[in-house]
Amino acid sequence: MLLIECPFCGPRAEIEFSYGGPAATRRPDDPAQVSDADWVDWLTVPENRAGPVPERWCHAKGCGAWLTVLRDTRTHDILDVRHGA
Amino acid sequence: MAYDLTITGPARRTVFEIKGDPSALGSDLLPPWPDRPCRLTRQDDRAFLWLGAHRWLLIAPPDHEDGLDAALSAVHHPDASVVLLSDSLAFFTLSGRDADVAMSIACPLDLHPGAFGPDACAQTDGFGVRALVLRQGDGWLLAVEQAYAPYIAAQLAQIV
Ligand SMILES: [Zn+2]
Repeated sequence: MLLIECPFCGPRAEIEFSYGGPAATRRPDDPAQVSDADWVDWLTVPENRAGPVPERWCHAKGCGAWLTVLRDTRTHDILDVRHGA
Repeated sequence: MAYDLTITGPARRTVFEIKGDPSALGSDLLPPWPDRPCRLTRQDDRAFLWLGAHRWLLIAPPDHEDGLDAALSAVHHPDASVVLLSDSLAFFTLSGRDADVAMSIACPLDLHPGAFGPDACAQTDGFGVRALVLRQGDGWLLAVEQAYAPYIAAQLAQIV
């Protein structure tokens, strides 16, 4: 069980949150200008680094805010949490 | 083992959701502002809860609804939205010597008085669904979306 420190609510259990996918990659501004291969890469191939990875989490059962969480995939340590993208 | 636990509910209470800037509504209608997130203030049987960066709940007895609705509706302000939520939430009370034990089964929060004092409130998890938790007297108030009321009642009945 992860303990995620929501900036508004304080430390809360993982079951209060919904995972919203990786946060690092930016959606292409104009999808029509992106090749199909690059679009599929962006859409379905998240970076899966061994180490700190920025992720989107929604405090769905708490304050409802979307957070960006820096989680170490090797240890599950939460290194940073902040509001928004 | 039988717990010393009394459960009431589901019951309806007056609930208004306020988003934006509550100060736009003036100070006559609302209890004083909670000064910290996830805290509440009480006045005249009304509780004012700060539950999100720009979200508050006003909870009052059922018979306060008409008066509050008229008063809050009369204050139109572009910086604050007020929505009547009384029909959306179902309230349960838990009291008795083992109410804290029952809450520890229902909810993952640390509800020890040192961590969750008399003025604390939280939107959290209650038996797996989104729930509102606050203290009431020597016990607890647990509110969930109306649709989950039968499920929560069944879960609480299992504890008893
Ligand atoms: Zn939160």
